[in-house]
Amino acid sequence: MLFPTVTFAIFFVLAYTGHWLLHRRPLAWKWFLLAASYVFYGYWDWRFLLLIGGSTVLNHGFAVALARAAAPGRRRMLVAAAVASNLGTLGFFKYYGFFVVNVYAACASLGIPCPLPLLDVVLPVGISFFTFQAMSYVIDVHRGTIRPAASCLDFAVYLAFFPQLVAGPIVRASTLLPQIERPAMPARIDIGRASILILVGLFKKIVVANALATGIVDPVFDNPENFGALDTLFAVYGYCIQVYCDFSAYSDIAIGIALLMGFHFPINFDAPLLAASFQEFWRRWHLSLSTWLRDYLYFPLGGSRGSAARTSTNLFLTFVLGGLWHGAGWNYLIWGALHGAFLVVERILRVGTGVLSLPRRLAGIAATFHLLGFSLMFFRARTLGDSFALMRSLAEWTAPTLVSATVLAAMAAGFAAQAFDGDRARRLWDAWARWPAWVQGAAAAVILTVICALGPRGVAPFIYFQF
Amino acid sequence: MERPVELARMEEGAGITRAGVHLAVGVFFVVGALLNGENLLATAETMEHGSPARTVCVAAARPLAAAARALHLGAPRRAIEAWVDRISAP
Repeated sequence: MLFPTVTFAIFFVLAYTGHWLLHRRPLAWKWFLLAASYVFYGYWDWRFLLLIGGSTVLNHGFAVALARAAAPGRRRMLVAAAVASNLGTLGFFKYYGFFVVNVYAACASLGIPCPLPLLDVVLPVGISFFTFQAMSYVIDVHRGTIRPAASCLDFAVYLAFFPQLVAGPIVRASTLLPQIERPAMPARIDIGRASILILVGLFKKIVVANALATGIVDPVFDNPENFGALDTLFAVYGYCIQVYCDFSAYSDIAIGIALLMGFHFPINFDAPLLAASFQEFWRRWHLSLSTWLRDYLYFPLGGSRGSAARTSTNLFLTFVLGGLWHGAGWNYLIWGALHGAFLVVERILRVGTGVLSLPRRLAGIAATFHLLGFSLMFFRARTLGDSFALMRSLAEWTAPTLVSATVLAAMAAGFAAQAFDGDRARRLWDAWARWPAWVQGAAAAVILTVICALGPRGVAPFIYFQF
Repeated sequence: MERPVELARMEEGAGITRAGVHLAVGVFFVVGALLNGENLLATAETMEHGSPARTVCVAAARPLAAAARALHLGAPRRAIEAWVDRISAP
């Protein structure tokens, strides 16, 4: 069920109404939220519910066992088993096919039969997101930073809560679980922020991301050998903006919807295309993943506590694994490795530290944007061969065929949409909230109509659904 | 360290009462459904034939589309779409 669709609109009306009617009766309210979230998720494929249900029971069981266990050895064993079972599930659904194909290739080159069966494994939507949430819950219980959920129902609602279930943000248990366990719905709702987040998110997805995808990105990335330098260059720029608009749109809409229901999620994007270095980029891009990787991978590896070489290795490894989190493929691995390498080089050269003058900041933004585009040539291309074909196209100077006024306007609009990230639109939120409630509703409906009319027909799935 | 925006806003008591939010959401859905009634019906009709979702969506969208046609509420959207088609024509 995609956010910008009729089906979701009907679903949301029912979920919103039920949520507010039942919120004074916690048990019924929790069961209702769980049922609504499972309907949302099961709409893709009801079999996915077995997976998320199994993950819920398993991880809550581990958390409760951890809270009861006193012996350090037993606690270590429990947390290791929880991490292994989560990674094992993720690995099977996400990486089995990639692993088998590469084993087949290796066996074929050695002339020996492959011992592994080829299976057509369906990748459940959002598995990476809810698995990471479940893992951080158990690890946090192990570390003593949170207690296990009061009941399995509370944890089930947390893990499946529909606004953030399939494409994040990865909301930690420490943030969302208390809001579910002790539902003290706020007396005032930040409707200005919610409305602007949802409307800007819909604009970024329906107008900008879809226009860039159909106008230039998909044609060039799907047939790189058919286009020259300018088309390819603008397709790469376009993809940088498309992936930002597409992904941040989902986060914005998720945060806005949760806000309308009285829940508070942390921000996930903060104008990342204005970053003047990769260190800054990762403090602005997919914050819930970057902080997850920091807390549960980089720090346990040793973080920056050791030598400079050890720190660089930890950083590089974290980003290689972060790349693989996105999917099973050499393209994601190379993308992650490139980001790790950029960060290591920045550390060595001490780039991105201290306050920058305006010219140096602008140069930093341009350099970071171009290096991001270079890394995304691997990320987006269907094969490694296509990535190299794109690079060859950059050397072929032919007249552009796809760089139109519409594409340029969409790129400019996508870039400008960063003005709504973080708390930059605070004044607009407050101004919106000062209008009478019915005017707010009518204005939002009119803006939605304009957005739908401006966008291409039909809505493509969000890019991050595949992760 | 800077306070996360969502917590700062909550502490400020930003926003409006819950009753106001319900009114705004209700008006949004009614006005939005009327302004887009004809497109909603067209979209619902493209869904998989025989699926329960299609049946529900078509049943919900048909009266909206009829009301939108009677009140000419689809005209603004059609005008914008015609403008977009004109400027994006090769």
